[in-house]
Amino acid sequence: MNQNALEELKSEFNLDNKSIDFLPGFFNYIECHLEMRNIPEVKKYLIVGLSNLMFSNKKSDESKEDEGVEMEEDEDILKEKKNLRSRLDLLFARFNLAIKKYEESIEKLTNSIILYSEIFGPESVGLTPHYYYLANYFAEKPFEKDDTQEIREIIIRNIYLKIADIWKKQFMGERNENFECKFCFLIIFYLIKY
Amino acid sequence: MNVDNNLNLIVGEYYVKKILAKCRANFNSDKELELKFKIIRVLILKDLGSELYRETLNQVLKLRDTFKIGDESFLQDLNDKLN
Repeated sequence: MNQNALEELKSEFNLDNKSIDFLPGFFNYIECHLEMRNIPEVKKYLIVGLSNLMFSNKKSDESKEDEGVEMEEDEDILKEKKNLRSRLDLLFARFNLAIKKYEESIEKLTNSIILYSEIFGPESVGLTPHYYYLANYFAEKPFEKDDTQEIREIIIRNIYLKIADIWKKQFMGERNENFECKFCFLIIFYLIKY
Repeated sequence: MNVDNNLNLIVGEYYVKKILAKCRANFNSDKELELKFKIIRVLILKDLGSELYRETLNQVLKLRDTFKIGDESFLQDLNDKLN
């Protein structure tokens, strides 16, 4: 997706710059720049995305004051805003990881995981990217006192095992608590047979 | 299946592939971890109705042949059934 495509999308759906409907596409655009390591562009658009999300919250606060009644914002909209905030924090975490600001990165990543978990639960497969970058954080951050490569590898491996476990639960439910290789081979057998 | 689940599968497949590459680079001796993610990828591709499903399944089967597990008799039985 390039900027022209985004502009076209914006005009086609008549979205103003402050609309949160626009944000998922906007985040995809930031992801493209992150993959291309185009850091100045990422920084610029992350700030725009953040101000957009903050402005949409401010707007709803003002409308509450104007009307003088406590309006309960639609639960779905609140959930969507939380989801968008989680995704934005994940992008900030990736950006901070790319510029080697590790403390800021883990803070944003943690916040992103908490927000997403509040909506979909801590074992949602939607957390795969979050856990993937959590493993990357442990792989990339500088070594501290008493920190060894072996300890790092154990942590990273356990994060990957956690990802495998949540996918196993997605496909097989809560059955087969241990994702043993015997179980893996049975799945292969099942796939071939059916 | 709703759109969100489909999106989760697409995003999941992308990251599972990335994890597989990391497993090969960092945990080359840990074939069990690699196998788990390969199988997850097969399951995701199957749910997505991807044409890559068969090809990926064949890769898993090749890995199975080189993979040693504790219970050899179980593997032998399974090999007999698959071949």
